This record gives sequence, structure tokens and C-alpha cells, in this order.
Amino acid sequence: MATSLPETTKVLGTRSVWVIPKATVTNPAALKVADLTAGFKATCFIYGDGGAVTGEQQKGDAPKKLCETKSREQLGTVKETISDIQYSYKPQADNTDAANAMKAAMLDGTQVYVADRLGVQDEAAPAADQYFNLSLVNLGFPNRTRTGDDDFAEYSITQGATVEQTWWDIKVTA
Amino acid sequence: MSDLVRARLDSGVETSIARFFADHLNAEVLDEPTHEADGSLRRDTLPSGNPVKPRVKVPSASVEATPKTPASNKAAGTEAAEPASSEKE
Repeated sequence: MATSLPETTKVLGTRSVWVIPKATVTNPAALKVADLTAGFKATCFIYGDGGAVTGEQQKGDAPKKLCETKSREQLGTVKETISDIQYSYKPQADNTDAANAMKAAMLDGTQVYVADRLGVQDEAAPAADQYFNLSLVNLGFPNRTRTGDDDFAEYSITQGATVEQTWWDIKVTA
Repeated sequence: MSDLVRARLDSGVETSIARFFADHLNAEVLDEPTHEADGSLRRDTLPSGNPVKPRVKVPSASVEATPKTPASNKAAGTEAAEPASSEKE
């Protein structure tokens, strides 16, 4: 019997990120296309794979019963974290410059939704029936950094954030 | 010029928001403080001035089972009780 492999999706060029102000989304579990267009598309500003949300779940050993000769591992609490977001900016311009759009949008101390679309070419506009992961985050201090020390390094901002809540695999409606 | 402003969105909600988003959304920028007196960010408010609060959906069965008025409690032969609210803050 021939083995058939499941369909897979390439990563290259198929991750898109939007930053949306918290007040504009009325129901994060029922995300709409209009919610995304009210936000700012940040994909072309971000270096690397920043802004990815992961859940770290605690594990521990259950109390051992008298009859047990093996230990049992149990699952504990989950902590959701978001990786630092490094994005480009123009040091010699103010926040009205297009090159500083993301710097202007990501004000520290504010709350925004970070909407992550995986598996669709970045050039494609947000549309109904696409799936998104949405995280409500608190934005941290924007550190002025560089992408590296080589001849091709660029000035950047590296900003941390904390996750309030995440909604996974939301099917967007029109 | 401050990067954080108090703005009124099309929905009527007033929020402390980045000036970038206020311009992007064509929101009306208000001449009001963005922070509370204690330094915390002012929360979102409705046009009435009341804060925007998340609505918790209560299962309909539990709402139907709860007497709505003290009069209906008396008619049902139960003790008078506070009418239940289907909205939680």
C-alpha cells in the first residue's frame, strides 16, 4: 500500500503581522477583515521572526503513592510569552516619516493586538475565511539597537512585550 | 507634539491611542489627558463617559430559571430575591 504524506505549507514569505489598537476590536474571538484594515501591517518592518507567541507549560512530578514504583509527570500552568520584536526605523526622522511608522504605532505602555497570519503569501490582502492568531499584548520599552556589527547592519528598535491573552486559529469573517 | 493622544473613534469609543493610529483611522483627536492622575493610562470610555466593559454572556437557561421580579417570586411561592442581572462587569 502506497504511503501518502499530508499536505504541508512553506514558511518562506508566508507570515504576515498586523498591529491593531486595542480599542478598535470589539470581539477578538470574531475577528473581522475591517479589524485588520484598521491596523498597521508591520511585516516589512520586522527583522527575523520576532513577535512569535509561545506557551511554556510547567511540568512536575505527581506525589508518589505507596504502591507506585514509577513517578508520574503532570502538566501545570501555562505562561504565554511573546518574543522581542525587532523592527527598522530611521533615526534622523520623526514619527511622521513613513520609515518610522512602526515606531509611531508601537508606543510603550499601550496595549495592541498582534495579528499573525501564517501560510498565506504576504502580498495577499486579509480576507474572509483566512485563519489568524491574535494576541493582546502590553508594549514595553523600545530599545535602540542594531541588527549586527557587520558592514550591512541597520539601525533598529527592539521592543519587548507581555501577553495578556491569545486567540488561536480564528477564522476571519467579512 | 505628543505621540499619545486621546481620540474618539467612529464607534464613539474614546481611547488613549498612538497619534499614528488616530491619523490612520481619521479619528477625532480630543483635547483631553491620556493618563489618569495616578499616571496609569486612561481606560476606554463610551460616549456617555462610562467605561467600556467586556460583556460576559450568561447561558440563557440560567437566566430563564431566575425570577425577574420580587412579585414573580411571591407568585411562585419562593422567597423574595434580588432580580438577577444577565450582564456582569
